[in-house]
Amino acid sequence: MELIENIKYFILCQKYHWKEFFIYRLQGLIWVIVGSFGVIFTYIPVTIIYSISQGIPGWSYFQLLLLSNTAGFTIGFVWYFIVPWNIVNGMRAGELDKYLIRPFGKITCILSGYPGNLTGIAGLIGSLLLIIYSLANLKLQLLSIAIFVFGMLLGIAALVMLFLLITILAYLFMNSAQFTNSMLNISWSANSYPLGIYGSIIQLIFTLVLPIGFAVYYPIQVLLGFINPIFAIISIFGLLVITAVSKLGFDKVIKSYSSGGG
Amino acid sequence: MNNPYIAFFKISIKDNIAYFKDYLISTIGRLLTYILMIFVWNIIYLGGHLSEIGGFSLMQIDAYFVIGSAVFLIIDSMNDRILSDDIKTGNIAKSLIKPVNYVYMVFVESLADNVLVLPPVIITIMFVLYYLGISTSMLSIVTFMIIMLIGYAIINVIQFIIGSLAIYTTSAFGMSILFMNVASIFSGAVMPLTFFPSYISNITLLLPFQMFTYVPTSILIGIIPSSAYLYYILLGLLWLFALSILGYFLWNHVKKKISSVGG
Repeated sequence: MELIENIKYFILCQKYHWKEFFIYRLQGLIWVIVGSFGVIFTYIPVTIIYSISQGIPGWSYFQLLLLSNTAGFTIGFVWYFIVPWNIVNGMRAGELDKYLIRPFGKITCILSGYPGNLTGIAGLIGSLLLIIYSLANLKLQLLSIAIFVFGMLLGIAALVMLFLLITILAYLFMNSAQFTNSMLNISWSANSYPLGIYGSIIQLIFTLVLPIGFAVYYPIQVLLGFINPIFAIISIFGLLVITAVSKLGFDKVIKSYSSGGG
Repeated sequence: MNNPYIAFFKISIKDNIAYFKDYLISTIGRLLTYILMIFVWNIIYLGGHLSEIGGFSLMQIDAYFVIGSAVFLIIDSMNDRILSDDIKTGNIAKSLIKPVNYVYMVFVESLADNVLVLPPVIITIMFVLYYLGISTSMLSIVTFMIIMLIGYAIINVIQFIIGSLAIYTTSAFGMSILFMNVASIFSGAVMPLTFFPSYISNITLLLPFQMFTYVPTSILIGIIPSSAYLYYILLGLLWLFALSILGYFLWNHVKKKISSVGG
């Protein structure tokens, strides 16, 4: 019941953020065009790579297109929920207090109070279309796709929790939003290509330190049959651990927060 | 008597240093993003047993991505955001009545941001040239610097034009990001322009964006022959002239339309 109330409140806030966004129609339109560029950033390099070379060894054009767009879609969704600047600016100004005292969960209050990157919706739709296009060309089993979609949604939830925790930690220890922002950008760039090409140290970083690999790289490897299906269970377990640890961490660090006023 | 522009430049530098941590994280983050591309291209070259793609050897592509990302960092100006914010908040009305040229002040503030990036960028470029053993002539270095200056001037003028448009759109932030996204593709920051299909690269090699990354970097690592240096300098100056004329008329038009909040 409490969860439903939180979801209702979140959706209501989203409605108002979108209304506010479209007050300035010209700006809104420009921002939507900007958002769509995220797709072009993944589509152009992958397409050109395969038009001038044999591409990444072991990966076909559609497999790489699927990977790049899944990374774009997943990180894009994290951006949709969290813009580190907005949250950190709110914490600096002491605005966070007014959201935290509302009768909903603290995470719901923060995610509802500070709108994420609404303009990214065009990029998200574009990425989704390219994911569907890639999947259609790869002719995979429907059951595998269903498990992959479930993993992707779980991955988004885990990463939103993780980056919310990183944002709060970065504010408490560094008084900065730039750190989370850079982490998100690097995660997107790195996970747009197979982690195996970066060498074992970087692969390990994106598996254990910044565990985006559980949300993007390993599920796709299972989907494409590159690794044992048991890794699907390991990935889901990994994502559940990330979610739980991030939630516990968030509950602990939010208690250390005191607004700019004292 | 103190020059007001130099004094303002010093203040802007101090202001930027106050946020040095953010600036450092952002700079390292952006460099790392581009450096990851080296891994991608290494595997493409080595996996496909390719000695050359689009006129670039593997060593040159490695140098291209590091130097290109460093060059793009220097060139990125922020005067569109300064101008746009001033228009949005109404501060521009106060600034215009001061006994200094507002346009110069915007450029000076933006320059202070770029100057701070200069030392790590120069060190990065020198290290890459030395580490990869790329020999470059004095003529190439001088031309590289001239093209960089032209590219810097062009991006400043374009961003000033974008900032001026805030008078019509309330905020130019969206357009500013849109421009940087377009520029990063057509400047060659994402990949060298010669990798694009010929019908696209033929167009991009006429546009001003190439002066931001592709042309200066390619000159330094020996992709563009010295016989073409003069062509690129003249092409850059032509674009700079044309865009400056446009910026001049637009600014004169915009100035008359400015009314601050409440006025």
